[in-house]
This record gives sequence, structure tokens and C-alpha cells, in this order.
Amino acid sequence: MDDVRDCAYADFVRERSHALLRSAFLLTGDQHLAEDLVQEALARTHRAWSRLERPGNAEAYARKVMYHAQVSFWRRPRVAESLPGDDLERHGGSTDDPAEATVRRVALHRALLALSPKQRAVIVLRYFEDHTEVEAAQLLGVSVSTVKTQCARGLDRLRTLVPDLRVLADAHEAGR
Amino acid sequence: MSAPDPLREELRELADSVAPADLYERSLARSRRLGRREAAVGTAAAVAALALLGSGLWQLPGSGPAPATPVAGPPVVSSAPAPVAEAATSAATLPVRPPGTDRPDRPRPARTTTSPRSTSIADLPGHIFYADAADDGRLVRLTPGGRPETVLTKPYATVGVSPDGARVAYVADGALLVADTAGGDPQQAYAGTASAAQAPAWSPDGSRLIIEAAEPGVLDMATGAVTPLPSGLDGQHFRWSGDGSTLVYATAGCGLEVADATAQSGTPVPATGDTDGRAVCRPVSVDATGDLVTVRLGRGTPDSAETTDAAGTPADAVLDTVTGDIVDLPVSGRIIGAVFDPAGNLLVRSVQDGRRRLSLFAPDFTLLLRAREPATVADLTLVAYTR
Repeated sequence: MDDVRDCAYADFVRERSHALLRSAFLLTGDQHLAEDLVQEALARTHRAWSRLERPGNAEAYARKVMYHAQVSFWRRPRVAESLPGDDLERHGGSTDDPAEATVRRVALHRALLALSPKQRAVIVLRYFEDHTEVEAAQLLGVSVSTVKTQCARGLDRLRTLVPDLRVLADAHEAGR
Repeated sequence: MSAPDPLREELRELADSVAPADLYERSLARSRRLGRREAAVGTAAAVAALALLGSGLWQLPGSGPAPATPVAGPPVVSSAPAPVAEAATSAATLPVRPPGTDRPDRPRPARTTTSPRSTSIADLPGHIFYADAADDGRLVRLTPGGRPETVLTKPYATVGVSPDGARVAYVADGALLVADTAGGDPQQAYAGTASAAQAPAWSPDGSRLIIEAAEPGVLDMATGAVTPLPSGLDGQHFRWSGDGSTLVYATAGCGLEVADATAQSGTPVPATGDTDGRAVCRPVSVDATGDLVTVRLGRGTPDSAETTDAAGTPADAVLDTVTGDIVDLPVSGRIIGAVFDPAGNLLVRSVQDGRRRLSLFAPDFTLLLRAREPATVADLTLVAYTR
């Protein structure tokens, strides 16, 4: 790559790495795995840099690589045998108590890891990155019906594992 | 403003847990490693082709130097189908045929439509495997009687069906598991395999699997040992020919290469205009000798080769590995799946006017069967055809 492209890539990494890391953390549930996943996505984006029509496409490309890698083959950490989120049902209900909030977050962390990789990817795409079903399907390279199915199953599982999320209002978004 | 969605809020807070990391140098180092791998493939192929052309060895099929480490070669004792004697499948002979050359020595489909020997799905001699992409890839087997039965319900990233249809190997949570299609608990065959670029590829005798461990390698099912493929075979989506003599695989740059199973490097399949500008990014199955391969034609980007290997992307064409030509199949409508069994029989799935049909061709392209596909598998994806 020439200097201009090097600079553009460096700017891209500096500005967007953390956003990618946030998604990767939800996908992998682990700091180190998230860093590895983003590193892989960035490296492949770097390889493809000259083929990207404009730098603005770089993040979309990196995210696509990241999601494909996660769904397809990325290592998944084992859920710890015992975490503060044990006996989740006892922690239902909203609260401003920081300790309760921490427990709820750990519960969600564990619940996400209990999903299949595809379900987790769809949940993160729909409810963290706010993509529509059509956009999520295009990014994952699957049909819209697959996204709907995986999303519904993932939400059901999350509601079971994290009762706080039973108030989740997803019905009105079904057709997005 | 509406009340915040609890799931969205919680996901954002959970994402806040990740610590910032400087990934610039790490990503550049990884990019350089990827670049060296791609360069090694190109250099090895070019050197091999030049050496063969220069030495004249291509005129003497089978006279090439013995391989140093034939990790993917036929086992000493094998129950594989008897190899079909085809010296021309040797990688050493591949570069000498210019693209587009007619190959009268090889059977090819008749240009006119022929009548099938049977039009009843009940006469299908083998088993067809389908995946349900909407259900984490649930694997379904269609028995010769046309009855579907679920043989794998656990989520997986990639899957490979054994040549006899009795076992499936699949990757889940970074481990390789093997399950009997007749039922029973899956057994872990290897820990640490992880790749979208390599579905478990069974050797013809079912004793070994090509998997992606740290690098692509051959897993001996009896010992659990993995022997890395030679570094010259730097690719992905490796597939065995039915006689075990040949490996076909995709390069990182969306091309195909063919290698003798005992060779240290592969030979590129010529690129021709036959593919209508689409790249051949993924071999799906190989015939008995390595002469033909079913492929998925893609857009020619790295994405095409790196996406999930499993059932979501069935083959849509048959390609001649020597000439690079697409084989014109006498099938009406659009091809939505094509797989060889280890004996070289070709099952083609097509759709026309909403009707799905299955066509089974013998290795000499005699049309053995053409039948309506049972509606129960209409929404599934063709994965494999086994005896």
C-alpha cells in the first residue's frame, strides 16, 4: 500500500477499532477472543483495502468478515461453571441497585453465550447494531426467514435465562 | 421518546465492558502473514509448472519424484472403491492441456435429452442428505424410499457426511464431533478445530478427515493424530476424489487447484470464460478420479471463499478440472445443487417453474433417474449423496 492508503487504514483502525471491539465482545463474550476476532477482521480488510471502492466501505467489510468468522468457526469460550448470575430467576425485576445491575449484566453475558453462534449474531445485529432483518440477512449471507427464525429462538432463550428481558418489545419490530 | 428497550440498553452496557486495545500493529502483522501465504501458493504453483514443463516430465505420466510426506495419500489398507486408472489425473499432467481443449477420452453428457431409466424416487439407490439452514443446519436424510428422517439436530458450523452415509462429522464450539446417522451420542474426535473454510472432508474409506486444526491437516480417526498438509497445498475447502488419489481445493484468491494426494504442491485449474465472469471459489464434491468437480460459482471476492462452508451454499455447476470448462448438463431449469458420490455418480437438483427435480447420472453420464423431489425437503439445501 502507498502512504496515502497506509494513513487511511491507520485512521480507520484508530477510529473504528473500539466500535468493532464492542460488537466482537458481545459475539465472543471474552476480551481476548474479541481482540483476536477484530484483529482478523482488520487484517482481511487491510488485504482488501485496494479493492474497496471507498474507505467508507471498510467498516462494512470488516464487520462482514467478523460476523462470518464468528458464526462459522470462531472459538467460543465455555460458560463458567459458577458466576454471580447463578439462580437467575431470583434476580428478576428492574432495579437501580448497582449490584443488581451487575448481576443482571452477568446474567445477560452468560445467556448470550448459551445461544448458538448464529442466534447470537442475529441478536447483536438486530438489538445492538440496530440492523433490520433484511440488512442482517444480507450481512450474514442467509435468508430473511432464517434471520427471523434465529432471532425468535434467541429471544425466547434470552427471556428464559434473563427474566428481566421479558418486557422486551420485539413484536412491533418484527416487520422491520 | 419511547422508553428504552431493556435488551438494547443491557447490550450497550455489556459492550461497555470491553477494554480498548491497540490493534493496528497486530492487524498489520496478521495481514503480512496472510500475504505471505497467498504469495507462497502462487510461487509454488508457478515453480512447479515451470519445472514440469522444463523437464519434460509431463510427457511421462507417473514418472514424477516420489513424495516426501504423502499425508493425504491412499492408506496402506483401504476399503475405498477400486481406483480408476487415469494417469491423466496426476497433477503433473495438468498444465499441458490448454483451456477449452476437447477431451474425447472422457465421458460427457449427451447434448440431447435422454430418457431416464427410472422416474420413481423409490428407485434412487443411495441416500441424499439435506440441511435446514433455518434450523441451525438440522441434517435430514432422504432414504431410497423417499422418506425424510432427521439425523442431526445439534447446531454446527460445518458438516461432512461420510462416504457410506453412516456418520457425520461436524464442527461445533471449536471441536470436531462425529455422530452415527443411525443415532447415538456424538463423540469428540478432535478439540481445537475451527474453520469456515474447511468442512470435515472424509477420505473415501472413512478412516481419515481433512480438517482445519491450526492449519489444514489430515486427522487419522484411529489414532487421533493430525498430520498437516504439505505447505505447498495452501488452500481451503479441500475435497477428496472418490478413489482418494486427488485433492481439489480453493485458493485464497478464488481459484481452484488440483493435487495428487501424495504431492507437495497443487496445479491451478485453468480459468476460462465458461464461468461467465464468476469465480470458482468453492469445490463442493469431486468425482471418482478428480476429473470433475461440483463447484459453487461466486463473485470472486475473498468473501466468496470465506463464508460458511456448510450447507448454505450448494454447488451450482460441474467443472472439468483439466480444462476449466463448465460441463453442460442435460438438465432443464436452474441447478440448485450438484454432488458426486465417491463412485462418481452425480446427483443434480434443479428447479423449473417451481418444481424441483432430482437427476442421477452414472459416471458415464447415463441418466439413471429423474424424479420429482418430495415436497417435504423443498426448503432444505442439498449437502451430500452417498451410497
